[in-house]
Amino acid sequence: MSALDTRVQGRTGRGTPERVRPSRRSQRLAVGVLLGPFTLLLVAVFLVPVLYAAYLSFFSTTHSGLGFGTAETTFAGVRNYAAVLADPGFVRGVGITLLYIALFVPLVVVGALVLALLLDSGLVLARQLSQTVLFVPHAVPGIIAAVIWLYLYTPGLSPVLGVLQRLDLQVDFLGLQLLVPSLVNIALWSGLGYTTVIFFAALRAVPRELLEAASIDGAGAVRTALRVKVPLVRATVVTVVMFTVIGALQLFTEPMLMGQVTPLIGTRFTPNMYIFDAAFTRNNYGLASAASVLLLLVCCTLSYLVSRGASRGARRGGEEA
Amino acid sequence: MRTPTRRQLLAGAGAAALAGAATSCGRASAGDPEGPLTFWSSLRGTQSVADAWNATRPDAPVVFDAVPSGGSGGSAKLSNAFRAGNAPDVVSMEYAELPGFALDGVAADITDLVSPSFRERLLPQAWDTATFAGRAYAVPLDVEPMVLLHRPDLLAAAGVDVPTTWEEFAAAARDLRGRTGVHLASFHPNGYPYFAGYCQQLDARWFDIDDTAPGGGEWVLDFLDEPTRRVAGYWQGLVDDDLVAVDPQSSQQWLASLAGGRTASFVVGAWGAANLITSVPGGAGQWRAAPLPQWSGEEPSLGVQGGSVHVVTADSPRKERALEFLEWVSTSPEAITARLSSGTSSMFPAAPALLGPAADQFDTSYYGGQDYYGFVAEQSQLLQTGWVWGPRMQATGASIGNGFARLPYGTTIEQALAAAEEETLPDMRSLGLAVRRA
Repeated sequence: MSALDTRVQGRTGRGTPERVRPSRRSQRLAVGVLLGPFTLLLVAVFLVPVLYAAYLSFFSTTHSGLGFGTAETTFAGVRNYAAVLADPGFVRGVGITLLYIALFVPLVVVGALVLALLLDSGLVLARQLSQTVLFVPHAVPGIIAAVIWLYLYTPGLSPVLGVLQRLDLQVDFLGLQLLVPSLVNIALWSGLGYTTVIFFAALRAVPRELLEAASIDGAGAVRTALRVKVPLVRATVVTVVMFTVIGALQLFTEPMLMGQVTPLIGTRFTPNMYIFDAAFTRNNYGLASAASVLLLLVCCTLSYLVSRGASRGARRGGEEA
Repeated sequence: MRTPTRRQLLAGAGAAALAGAATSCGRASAGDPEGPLTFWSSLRGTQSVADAWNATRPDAPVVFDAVPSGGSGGSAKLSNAFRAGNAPDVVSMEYAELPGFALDGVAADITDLVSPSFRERLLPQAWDTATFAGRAYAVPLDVEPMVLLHRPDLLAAAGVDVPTTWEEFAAAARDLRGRTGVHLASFHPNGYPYFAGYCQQLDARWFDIDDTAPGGGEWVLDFLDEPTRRVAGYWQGLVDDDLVAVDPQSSQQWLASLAGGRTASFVVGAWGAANLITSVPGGAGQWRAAPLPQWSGEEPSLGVQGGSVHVVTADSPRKERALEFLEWVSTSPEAITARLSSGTSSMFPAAPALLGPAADQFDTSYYGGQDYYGFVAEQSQLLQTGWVWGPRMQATGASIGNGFARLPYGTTIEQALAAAEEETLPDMRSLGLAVRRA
């Protein structure tokens, strides 16, 4: 970053910009070299699979009548989509994911923002250390995190539950009422520090003159945080919300592992698990593709809406500032 | 011993990789009709069966691989192998999995390869469950009538007789629980085949095949037909009144309650007798087998729980040889002796002629010397016919299990079954199957 900064400064520092224009050819070459790897990967690992999934979703191993010995793959129109939407298991999975999002996103965004503001306000001692400690859980792979928490959730194994039991407190983290909160807890543990670091970086970029002006105008620390800092990092907040929502829609690892210890988490608990189950248990690739395409559409729509909201918010934020 | 150098290690790893490639090449030559017969199974004792065959028939070798059971990944493994064109010639599976593999074209239609003499040597009820719309898709290995394995001492301590009807069973459960606190039996929320076995006894049909429907027939779904409602209501009452323990099958808590004498019986297919010996070794001599209770006012009958078949895969170029091998596996005394000699199985062979050799291998001391195979043979006369498993039983079973897991939270058995039916229909429709609800 700093190297880049000095280079930019160095160039503008020379006063008149260089007149020597690179030839069109070398420009094209540069574009090709710089964008090539990205485009290649985009096509190979995103566009081709997406198009293939979309293609698969309109086909199905079609049987006639009872289906014994007459299987052939044919164009099925929207039959797979109709089947996915008619499946109460899928609809319930979507509902559970929405509940999860409703709990997780506000908690992680507000929590991380508060932590970042605290770090930024200088109230926190040993800032570097606290930042690192907050960030460490994010470095733990999701599957390991889930295993750690499963250990803490399982009655008879968990030292936490043991202590609670001695205090006559019976908590069933794997019971029906606490299933989603238990999942949210795992996600919070791994996601909070990461989000805090993003917010903190955005807060550091807030011009110090503005904060000085605020304090000269008599604004206290809380007022400065809420009325000056937060509006200025609104664009970052919106982006983080978008990424968090999209990440939450893909909920898979944690419930998949939790399903190993509680039968309450079925094989179709979230849309992603539904897709996995349709492909590998029910051997119905058409159905799995249709569900994948639906999930992709929801993700795309959400990101579009949020990014539109973000650019508008950023513009407004800029005007206010 | 000298520590190997890095280069040696690398060379070793390379050689291993090459060897792996070589064997997979060997497997890939599935098209060679002269090659050895490949065979996958998750059933206990199958290695001994394959060894016994290879010892007597070195001219027609069988290459056996142990695979995980269907629900633990075996089914997915088979589907993927078939898709990739390297499925084995012969593979074992449970009855419940057969319709799915028959539908997907993995299981070959073997109707014309089964000789009439072979057909006659297996129980007709066994063939019935391996036959769809008049075509046979598998060779039955065993049939498993449900039996009541119980502890007479625990019943006697509460002054309770072994129940012979379900009414008596409920009364006995109430007395036992009231007098000594012991549960008479368990309801397994993770074991839909147990519940299905109770329903079969009353001739329920969750899935039925309507041959007469236009366009080659139709599946008829009814997870809540009259017999199932009756069975569901009955067990719901036992669960609600805490007269049976709601314990997952194979779970630690369930095994502990059997071992600790807090649950007095295990209702299971005939295979369960050996399973009990290995999982509750401390109960030796205390257990006995009794007939499953009957519904009063109904013809005596029995459902099955468990049981396996062998399938010949559709792409196999060695189908005749596979059938020859399977006839030996299902009907020869050497095969059943090899399978049961390890003492870990009490399966009830589909070939009545094998009862003698099977009984010879089973150590009855756990059951106080009771003639277990003689008893099951008698029970097998009552087997109900006509039950059909659905085309995606693993998924349907997962739905049922998910509903049963919510019993402590107020979901009822009927609600769980209704939800499972709702979740089974879309899948069948998306496969283009003709399906309707009764």
